[in-house]
Amino acid sequence: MKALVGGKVITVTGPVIDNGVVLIDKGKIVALAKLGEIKIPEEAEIIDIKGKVVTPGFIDAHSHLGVIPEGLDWEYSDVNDYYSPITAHLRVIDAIDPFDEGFSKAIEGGVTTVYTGPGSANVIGGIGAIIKTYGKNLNEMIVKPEAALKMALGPKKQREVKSKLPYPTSRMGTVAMLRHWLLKAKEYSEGKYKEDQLDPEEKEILKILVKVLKREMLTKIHLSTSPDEIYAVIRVIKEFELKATIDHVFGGQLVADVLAKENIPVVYGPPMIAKIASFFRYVDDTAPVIMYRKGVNVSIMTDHPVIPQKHLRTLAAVTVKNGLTLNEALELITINPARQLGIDDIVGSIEKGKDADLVVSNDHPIKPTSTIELVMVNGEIVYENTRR
Amino acid sequence: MSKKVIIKNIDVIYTMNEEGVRVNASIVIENGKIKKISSRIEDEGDNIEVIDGSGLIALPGLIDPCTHIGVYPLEWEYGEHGVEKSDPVTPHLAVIDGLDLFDKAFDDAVRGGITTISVHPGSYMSFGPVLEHMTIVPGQVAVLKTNRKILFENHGIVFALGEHVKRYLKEQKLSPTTRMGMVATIRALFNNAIDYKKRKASEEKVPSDPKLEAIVKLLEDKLVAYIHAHTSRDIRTLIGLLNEYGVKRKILVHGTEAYMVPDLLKKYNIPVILGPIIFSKRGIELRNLDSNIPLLLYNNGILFSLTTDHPTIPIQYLSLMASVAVGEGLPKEEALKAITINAARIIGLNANLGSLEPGKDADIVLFDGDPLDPRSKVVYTIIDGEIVYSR
Repeated sequence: MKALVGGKVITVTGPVIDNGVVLIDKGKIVALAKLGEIKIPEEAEIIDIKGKVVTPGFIDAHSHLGVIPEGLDWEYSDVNDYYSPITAHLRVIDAIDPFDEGFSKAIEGGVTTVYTGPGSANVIGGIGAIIKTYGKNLNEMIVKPEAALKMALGPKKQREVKSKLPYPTSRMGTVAMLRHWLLKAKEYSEGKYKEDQLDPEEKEILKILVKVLKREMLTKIHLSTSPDEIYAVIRVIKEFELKATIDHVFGGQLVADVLAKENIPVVYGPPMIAKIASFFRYVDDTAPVIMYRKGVNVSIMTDHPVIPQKHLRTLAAVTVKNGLTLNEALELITINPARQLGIDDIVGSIEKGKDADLVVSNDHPIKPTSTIELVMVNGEIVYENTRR
Repeated sequence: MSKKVIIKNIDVIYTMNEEGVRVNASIVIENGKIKKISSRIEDEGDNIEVIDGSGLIALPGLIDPCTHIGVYPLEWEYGEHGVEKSDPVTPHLAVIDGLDLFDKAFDDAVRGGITTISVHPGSYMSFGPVLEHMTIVPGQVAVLKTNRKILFENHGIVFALGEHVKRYLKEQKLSPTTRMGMVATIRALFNNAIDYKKRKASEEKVPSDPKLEAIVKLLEDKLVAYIHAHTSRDIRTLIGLLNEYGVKRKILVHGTEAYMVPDLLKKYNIPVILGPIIFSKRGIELRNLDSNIPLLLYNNGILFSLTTDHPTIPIQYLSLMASVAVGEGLPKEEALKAITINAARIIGLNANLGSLEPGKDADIVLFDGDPLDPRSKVVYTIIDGEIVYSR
């Protein structure tokens, strides 16, 4: 048993507790109270955090951690397979390198849980996983090995490799291909296809799509750059009643009302990228702020390695620069992504019964000038800042 | 008649010089220059513009000595505007000749409190090798204020080594293809320039060679050498090469592994324009990139400034880079220096820029709180005594 004693506890979902106590046992948060209002068991190892701030571990709902390696060339990346535009049956869990340096850096930055997934080269790219960023082996890290199916809008490129199916080259072509496969899966589940009409791989793909149609699996739909794609995504989501998040959402500030009305969660970002070309003209760092104010469930992504995983909190600070408060920005990297990923029963806030994934900082961690001093995953201290 | 401006009752003034922090003082500006910083109540005559500084914190205008503003304009066509594809060695090209002064990034810069920028040829650092373009000698750096006033059309020549250059030349089916070959190419350029200078001195009719003219200017210390390199080996090689030809002023840009060669940098008095400190570690030459490098350079006593390398990181987030460096352990004072006085010192403009003191340009940014707190907003950006942005 451990007790974090004397810090300011930002629970995210409940009130802030000044001078609080967080009791941790068997990897879980077992109690939470103001100092003096709770009995700290004698056997508890006391960790004095007087003057410090404790928050939940940070969560990134869109990353490629462990799939695109740190410090190696593109050739080592396993994020996109140009084998076919429809690769629903590829699983990221089969490609994650748990020893990639990105994991220890993530911990250093207070990031304790990530959704890491395939890339956006394909119309249906494959299945991403939710993992903790610390564990003695990959199995220990896994929260959900098959967490969400990645779909990606935008025109696709025919690559040099020979692909099984041709890639669509227009934005409407991509949506049509997506719709075609979802419809095929629907009709497959309705028994409209004879078993011998489909090859084994096709059947495998359709079975995964059926899970998506039954809302047993989350869909993450990647947007390339513009608000018209948001409308296209909404049409597909409604047509097939998908449980989905829209990822990237560049231009979201322009259609925030629609997203709020349709109650579709969004993973924005990464913030802090420039409008480097005309097709990035809708990129605007006020987007997550405006969507948040309109009531959309917003989280922000690093899209690691686009922005290094450890800088998730720096990106949250960007939303503060654009108008959110520190605690609102904290929601964007804790409870909101947890809800989007369907893991808010175990992580995303400091609540009794949740995993003890905690970050102790010398100031509010959304201030980039603050230093993270201690990180805990499943109740285990996995990082202590020894620099100072 | 001379124009006078008073910014009165400023809560806190970070002078960024020996005076340190002044509280409750006013800045008197005359003809675009700082006349004095005064704790007295100053006269407010009829022809004096008064700016209320109460509740505000003043810093010298921020300086980013490595951007690509105007060369890769925002929302523009995608392309390789910062490199000449036909030739990997172009010391005579000047970014100023291809610089869009109406790039929206100038507006973002003043909104973020940035008042002076350098514009470098070559590529910004982009995610994914397919977008990375760099040649061995891409051209000459310009220095501008963000009110678009040009300070230097030709400030220095960029020399680059590393993966980007190798990959790009290979893609373009150009040679040389190795670091050895690139160094030999630069050496040949210098040798030719020395020969050219001699011939011009002794012979009557020598046809002009713009490339060699540019290198002669560098050898005569009329230009600065900008060393674009990430790895310690490339840093070492280029410093060695430039020393061989007696190039006096050398500035390291990016400098990801500069912390590995502190003695070399100190011995030859080479400062570092570091960063961006937040970027994808794609590629082996960036494997040691981390936001704690400012701290490592500081601990090693190396003069450095921070850069966004805009559009790698958008220009308005320059102060955020400084904030992140503080989170990594760099003292706050040093982080502020890295985006003001030290940046000015590195590009040799500290006589006019980088600190708030009498005689210097009235380039001032006023925040409504701690400049390194993300909640603080820029309320005024002033260049040469003129308000160029107000909230």
